[in-house]
Amino acid sequence: MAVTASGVFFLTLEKQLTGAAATDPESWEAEDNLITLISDSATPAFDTMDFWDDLSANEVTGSGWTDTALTGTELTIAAGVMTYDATDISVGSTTLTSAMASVLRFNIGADGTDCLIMLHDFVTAVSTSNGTFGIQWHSSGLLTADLVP
Amino acid sequence: MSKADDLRAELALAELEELLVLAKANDVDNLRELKDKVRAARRAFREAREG
Repeated sequence: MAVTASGVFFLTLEKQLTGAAATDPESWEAEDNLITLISDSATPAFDTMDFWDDLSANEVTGSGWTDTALTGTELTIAAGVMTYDATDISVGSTTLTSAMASVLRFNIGADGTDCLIMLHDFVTAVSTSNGTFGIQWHSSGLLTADLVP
Repeated sequence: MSKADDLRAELALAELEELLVLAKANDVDNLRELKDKVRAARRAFREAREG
């Protein structure tokens, strides 16, 4: 059991592309989608996992940290490459132990209905002791997809 | 870039990100231009940070 890769959870993407009611009217550009942290005890399955309750057993909790809204979200396109980006995460005065990945999900309201969107593998586990927990997204954003390969 | 340049770039990016959030909250119809500006500012700021 381990986090071994970053990725997009396909079942949610499929629901969005097909207009399934489960995700209506949720949006990747909503300003209340949630970032949560999980430990390396989790085994993400991008093909089959669909809701937060598939991973919530391995949530990393700690003082000063709660699920954090991802803001400044945007989908853009340039030269055929779609980019999904957002404001960096920065939360002060946290004490967290061994966060191995962040999980982005829709904020629908319950673990069994919050659709998983994507996961980012930190590769090295992160801990804080009454300090700032931050995620500095890559210069290419959270996700890029070449739509004109 | 100098430290002052870094701080100016960070502030400019934060202002653009705030504008984007405000525009979305007010249902501004066409965000394309603003989103492209934010994307470009983010890329430049992060590339400088990543060295």
